[in-house]
Amino acid sequence: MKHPPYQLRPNKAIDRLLLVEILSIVREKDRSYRYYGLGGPFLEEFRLLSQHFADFPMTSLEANLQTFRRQKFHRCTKNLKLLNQTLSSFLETYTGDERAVFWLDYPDLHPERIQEFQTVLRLVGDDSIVKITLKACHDDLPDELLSRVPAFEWNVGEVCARYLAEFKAKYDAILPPTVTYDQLRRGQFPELLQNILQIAAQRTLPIGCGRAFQPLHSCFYSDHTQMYSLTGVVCRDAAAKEYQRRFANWPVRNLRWANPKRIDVPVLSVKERIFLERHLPEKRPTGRGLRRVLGYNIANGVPASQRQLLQYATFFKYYPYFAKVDVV
Amino acid sequence: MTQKAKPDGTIYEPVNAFPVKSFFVTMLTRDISLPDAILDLLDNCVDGILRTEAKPAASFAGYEAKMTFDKSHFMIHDNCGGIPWSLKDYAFRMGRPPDQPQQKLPMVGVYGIGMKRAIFKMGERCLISTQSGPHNYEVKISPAWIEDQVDWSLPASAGTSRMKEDGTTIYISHLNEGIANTLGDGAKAFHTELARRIAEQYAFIIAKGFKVSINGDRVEPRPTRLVLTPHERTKKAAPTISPFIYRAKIDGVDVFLAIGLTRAIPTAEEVAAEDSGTHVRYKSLSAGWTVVCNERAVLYCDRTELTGWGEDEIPRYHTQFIAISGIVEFRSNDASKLPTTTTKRGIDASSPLYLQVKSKMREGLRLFTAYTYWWKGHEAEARAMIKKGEELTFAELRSRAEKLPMRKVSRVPGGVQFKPKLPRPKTQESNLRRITFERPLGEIRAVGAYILDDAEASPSRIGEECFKRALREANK
Repeated sequence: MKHPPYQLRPNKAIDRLLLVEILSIVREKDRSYRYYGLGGPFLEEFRLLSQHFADFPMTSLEANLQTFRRQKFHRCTKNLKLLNQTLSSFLETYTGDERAVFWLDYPDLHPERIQEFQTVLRLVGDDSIVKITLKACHDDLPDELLSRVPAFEWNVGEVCARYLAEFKAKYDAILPPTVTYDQLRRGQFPELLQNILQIAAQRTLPIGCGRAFQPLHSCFYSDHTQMYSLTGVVCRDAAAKEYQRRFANWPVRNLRWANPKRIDVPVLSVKERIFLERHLPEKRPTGRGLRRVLGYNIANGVPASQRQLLQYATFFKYYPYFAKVDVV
Repeated sequence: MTQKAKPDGTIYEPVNAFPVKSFFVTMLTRDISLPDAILDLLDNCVDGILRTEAKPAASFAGYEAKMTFDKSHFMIHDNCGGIPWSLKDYAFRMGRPPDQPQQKLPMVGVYGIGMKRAIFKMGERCLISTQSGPHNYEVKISPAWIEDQVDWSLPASAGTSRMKEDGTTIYISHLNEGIANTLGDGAKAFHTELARRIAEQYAFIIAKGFKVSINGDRVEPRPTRLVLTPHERTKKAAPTISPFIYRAKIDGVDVFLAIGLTRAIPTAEEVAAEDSGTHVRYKSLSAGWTVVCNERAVLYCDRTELTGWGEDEIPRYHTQFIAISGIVEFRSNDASKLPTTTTKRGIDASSPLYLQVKSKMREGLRLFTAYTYWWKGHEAEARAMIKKGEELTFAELRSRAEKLPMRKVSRVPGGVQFKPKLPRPKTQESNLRRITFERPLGEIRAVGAYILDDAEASPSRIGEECFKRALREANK
């Protein structure tokens, strides 16, 4: 059982805090939500949510017995119910007669994950928030692997075509009509994954069924592995416009299935961050101003440094501080 | 004839049975789904090519249909020859006029309703611009025309400009509410669904060069490929994996049937996963029957009684038969003889022609379902055999069939068939036995975590590992 060090992932931490913001906005009108998550051994997001919303009832679903025991050790609030159960077995009896928040936080990508996403969309009550996080890269693209082999006799084009055909066969019913091998590459795959999820959502809640999945935010980031994250609300058709209005001024919104935003905050020292925050927020952040006041590059060259500082200017509010502490 | 007034003053006059437009606009359109309506428009494009070529087209290269849509419009533009002015009555009247001669071409349009029904399904305003040789004209449908219950004539006028090639453009706006939502907010899923339907149902025509695009994305065909292992002409034919093929001409309709294997038979694990319902499938199955009428698939991968599954001692479709796929093609210059329903997306199951051919479909099914039973427990061996074969498209099979030793079918004059001698395992009785038992999921996960360090490992893998360990102990 391997668990990534969730607590040391700044981009993931930002994704978590963005969920907190979404919940702050939707809970302004109604606080009767219950959170369901797949928290991992340290229950990171549960701790964060309980800090922000003290009265928030939460349920953690964990299939692995050892991890479940570890979760018991890390249980952070009385409001958190821990269940030793898989999401799919939980959903078998879930009635959906409540406003819920589901975060399907997966470390990988399989068709089963998308099917669970569709099941959740189908089951949850109106005005429920559904967030899904998936691995958004292929570690085994044949041309990238084979380029490391000096004298390889295979026809690389043929191998790539077979790889694409296998991918297409796996997701056939929810793929956009035209998918190319290049779309499987790291740079383009988050966009393709979003299209797949959009089609999956529209197939589960088709036009005319009275309910829709209204996207609110989507992003991709890489702490080590590239991940894609989509958050939206399942609501009556008529309520979708109301959600669009409520999120219209949220700077990182995605209400129309636009391309996902990249989160890639730079590694900065605490001293640098305190210095930069004196100059934030900016009205129209570009990264140039921060680069100028800093007076040196934090990446290879000025454009790369400006890009990273733009990321910082966009997400600095959500960037966690990691510090060494002594527990006494 | 007007009759005398009755004592209460009622006069029994001839009653008005004149059709009302709302029947065509709101009722007839309920019988068809949006993708089917769009496929009707595409059928018209293909019929246009056949009229242009004036003979069954061997190649459709150079012809194309482009569709675009969003929440405010739907448009289909083709270069398939346009609508000749002489066919205006057939094209624009509600139903085929009785004096309209049937064209001796393998088209699918019979009832003269498809285009109009598709337009009314989608919206209230439409402009049809067409050019066919010297004729270049436009026909308009407007909300006012739809509301007017008396005037049935559609305004036509000379086209505003010459087109580069003969063809037709249909532009529909003022979309009905549900349609606007589907083509607007729901466009992504609809686009995928429509592209899949076209790729399946027009696979034969697209493979012959016809191009179809949706919002700029080209649709690629999805042909079914059947496996054929090398066959030698010998007196006593050696067993080969080859499709069962039947060919006949019945009442002016050419029939060509092929059924075979698309892949190796499934492993026990694959069958168990499918049966347990835990198996996720976004992958489309090629198992089942595809029925093609004049090159357009009217039924795709059907696995129901409609195509012979589960009747007359043929087992119902089950995952074990996932490798079995068949295609039946009906071709006729008289579309009314084809065994299709009025929507052209289904089979008329009571058609005598279809019933006759269906008995051959069952014969093929019987052969290949038996094959899967023979090889149960010998899956690896069966898989190796399949690997040696070629995967042939239907068109390739047709030409390859010429070389196969076809035999006459006694009951059908001119009917011939090739019934392959399928290989059987050397030892009929496998010495393998299946071990099957059920345990609670939690216990399976616990054992998986304990022996494989993987709680998510498949139950069969966990079971196999347990057995191996026990066998090692037993053999010590």
